[in-house]
Amino acid sequence: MRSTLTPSAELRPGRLAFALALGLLALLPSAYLLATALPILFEGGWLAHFAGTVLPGQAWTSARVAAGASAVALAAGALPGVLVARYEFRGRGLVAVLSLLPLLLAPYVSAGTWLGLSSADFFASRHALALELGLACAPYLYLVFHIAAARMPRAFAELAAALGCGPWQRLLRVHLPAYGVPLAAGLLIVWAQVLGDYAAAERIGIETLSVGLHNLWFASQSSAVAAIVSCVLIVPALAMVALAAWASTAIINQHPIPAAAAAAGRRRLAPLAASGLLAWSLLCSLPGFWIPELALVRWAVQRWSRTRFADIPGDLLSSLLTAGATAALVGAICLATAMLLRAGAQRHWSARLSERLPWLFLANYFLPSLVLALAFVMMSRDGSLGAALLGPARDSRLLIVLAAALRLMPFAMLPMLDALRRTPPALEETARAFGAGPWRARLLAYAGHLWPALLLGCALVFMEALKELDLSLTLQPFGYSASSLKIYAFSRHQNMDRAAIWVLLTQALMLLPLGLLWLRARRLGMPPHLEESIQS
Amino acid sequence: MSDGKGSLLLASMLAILSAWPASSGAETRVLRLISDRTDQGVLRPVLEAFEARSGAKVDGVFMDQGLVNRLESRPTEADLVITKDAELLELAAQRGLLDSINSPTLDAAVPPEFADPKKRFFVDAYRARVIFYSKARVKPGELSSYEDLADPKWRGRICVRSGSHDYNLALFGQFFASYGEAKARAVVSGIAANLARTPKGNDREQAKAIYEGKCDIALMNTYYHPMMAANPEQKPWADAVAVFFPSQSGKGTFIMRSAVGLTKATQNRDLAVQLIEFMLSKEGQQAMVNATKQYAVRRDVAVHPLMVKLGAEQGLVDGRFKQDFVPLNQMAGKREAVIKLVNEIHFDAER
Repeated sequence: MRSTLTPSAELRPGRLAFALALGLLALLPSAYLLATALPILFEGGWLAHFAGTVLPGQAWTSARVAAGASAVALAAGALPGVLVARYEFRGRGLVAVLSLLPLLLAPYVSAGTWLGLSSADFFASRHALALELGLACAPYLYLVFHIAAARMPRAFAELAAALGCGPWQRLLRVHLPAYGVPLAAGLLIVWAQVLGDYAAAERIGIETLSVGLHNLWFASQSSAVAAIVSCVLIVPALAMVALAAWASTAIINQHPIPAAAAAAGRRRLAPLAASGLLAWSLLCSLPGFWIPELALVRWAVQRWSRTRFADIPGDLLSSLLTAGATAALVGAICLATAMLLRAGAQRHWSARLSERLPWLFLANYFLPSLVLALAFVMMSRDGSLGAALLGPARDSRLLIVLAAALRLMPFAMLPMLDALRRTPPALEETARAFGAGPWRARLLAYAGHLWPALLLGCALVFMEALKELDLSLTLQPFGYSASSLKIYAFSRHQNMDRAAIWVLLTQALMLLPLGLLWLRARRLGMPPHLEESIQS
Repeated sequence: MSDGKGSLLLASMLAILSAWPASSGAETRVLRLISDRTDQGVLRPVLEAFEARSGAKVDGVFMDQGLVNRLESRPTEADLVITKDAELLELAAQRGLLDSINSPTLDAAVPPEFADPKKRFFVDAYRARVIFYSKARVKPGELSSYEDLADPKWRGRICVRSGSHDYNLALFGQFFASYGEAKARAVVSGIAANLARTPKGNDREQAKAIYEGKCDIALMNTYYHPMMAANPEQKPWADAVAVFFPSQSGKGTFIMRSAVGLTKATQNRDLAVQLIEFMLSKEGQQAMVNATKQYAVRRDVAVHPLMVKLGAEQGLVDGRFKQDFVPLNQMAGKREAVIKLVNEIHFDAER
């Protein structure tokens, strides 16, 4: 439901300042790199060299991988997401689980495992990379489409049917336009993943933009060269963010639909179609999860005697701490955003601006994590303002946590903003009328709407932070260990079998957030009375 | 919750995070090392031997790539730097990131060609970048030199890792230094034209590709042969290939050097020098040879028995081979030229 504007909901200067601060924080790495690169943009001829030699080919390769991955993710994630949200059938819960399982496998783990399993040329091809990245993105598309479909009432299609539209006309004129926004959001996720991936593409040997940038940076051993070349990615990333922010805030709100009302109208899916969907989800989960997983289990058993068990507790505890801190920091910033910005107030320019500024965090997700790592290396160099501000903390895991939080912020911030938009300001006014103070009223009014979105977002952030590699590799402090680093170290030497135990234990750490995700998605699709009974 | 409380909460959380050490501190002295080798890899036995001998603890940052950038960003966070590619230390030295090492022990132990003229770093070991060939499909008599790899007879038969990788940048840079720019460009371009597939994977994967029949020859470092032979999964790859030292009747085979240097940090200077001296002592060199299967820089340390047999069919004795030795300070400026060449000829492009 679209929030209504109330006089008290007009934005105050303090809130606008907070929103601006958020925007600045989000853009800090990109702005720093641009500021570093612009004065030397044409020095050494690196930009012209990059643009005139490998850039076009790498961009074309990335685009083809992204197109393939998009098709895979839509088929493996979006289709089950919509059907699970819209229909009742036996095995519905199983389809949801199967769709979310690939979250447990980082693309570089998946790539390394497949290369260890088979020498077929396919697994060292661009198509394999597209398949693996697409399957890795499928859970996100499942969630995006599931939420979108759960909020979509049947009234539009029923109205069209009453006006004589056939099934195909309804598909073309009602359903497809209605899914435009989740489609755009899903594609942005896939493209961001493809552009951001380095480890899987490098492992398979595909020269994507990210691999090209990586190669040029480390071959030249020059941060300046890397900053110059990063500009090639920063500009389109910012354009994509602007597009995403506009699409979400301008389009989604024009179709505000209460989720529970739509869920209540879920129909039964024909048994044959249900069986087909179940088979399809199972089929997709085979390459996306089960086959690599079984291989990892087998390798873990085979290499049991060669495993350094003494290292495991430290590695896992360290990973847990880094991922937990990242999720907590993201949650804290999102909560502060929710408290300081407020629902409604969308007509005033400053209110609209403040609503869209947090979207700038997406810029860090669209950039390869390597670029973010580069920015942090440069921002925290000896003698810099960053080093002075951080003090001894610079040489701790804090730098990894900060960089990971900036990169993964959209996973929690955007669902939270969405929930905030759907919270009627009248609730806060009502709480005030019953005597609650301003902050307590806001907390009471928003908590019920916000916490599921925040929890879901933080669960995703936690899982992604556990899998994160590039930032840990580049920003690690002395004595730092993490399961992702250990997995990478083993896989570099074709010892994926020895990495298996670390992969499996890292997955065990992800089971709780995965369960939360599954539960949240399940509740989202339930009729209101059932959802309430579960929550109570 | 008030604004003040929120800020306090956030500040407290950040303080806790930053205060939480990456590893627990110890009372023993801690030597800080930065390296592009892996923690799990060949360096570990040498470091453990030093820890046992000195009583100090060696704490490390082990990063595959970006070593010089990290050093440039934080010149004094580590006491010493160890790299698998000495050219990186030459770069670091040129950028003023390394200090001179005053040690008569090292001066006496290390042959001058393996020491930086200003003693800012020492080469601790080396390996040769040679041709691995299929025993089944290639006769040793067909092989001769690096230049020969550009011959069209090898069209579609060569495998190699990315041209942008440090190993190939170092090799191609030595082509530039030894052959001159025009010939080097022709050789690298010729190799690119003869590739059987997109450059991918690490060195061992090139041997695997030969084993699988995807190509017939590959450019690899010598030590991978015994390392693969010792791994049950990779032994078939090692068994399928043999090693050829190129250009033995010409200028010689190019080598890859690993090295160790001192940073500008001074707090643990004595301990850092001790570790370098240990690495270059007879015991340390033997440990290095045993662990890495590289060649020691000390002349009194023999070639590892598993390496002696490599090249025996070429007539090499005791595993010693003729080197086309390019001093590292002659590589200055070559790296940039090689990177640009690799990109211009689309060395890494999909095939």
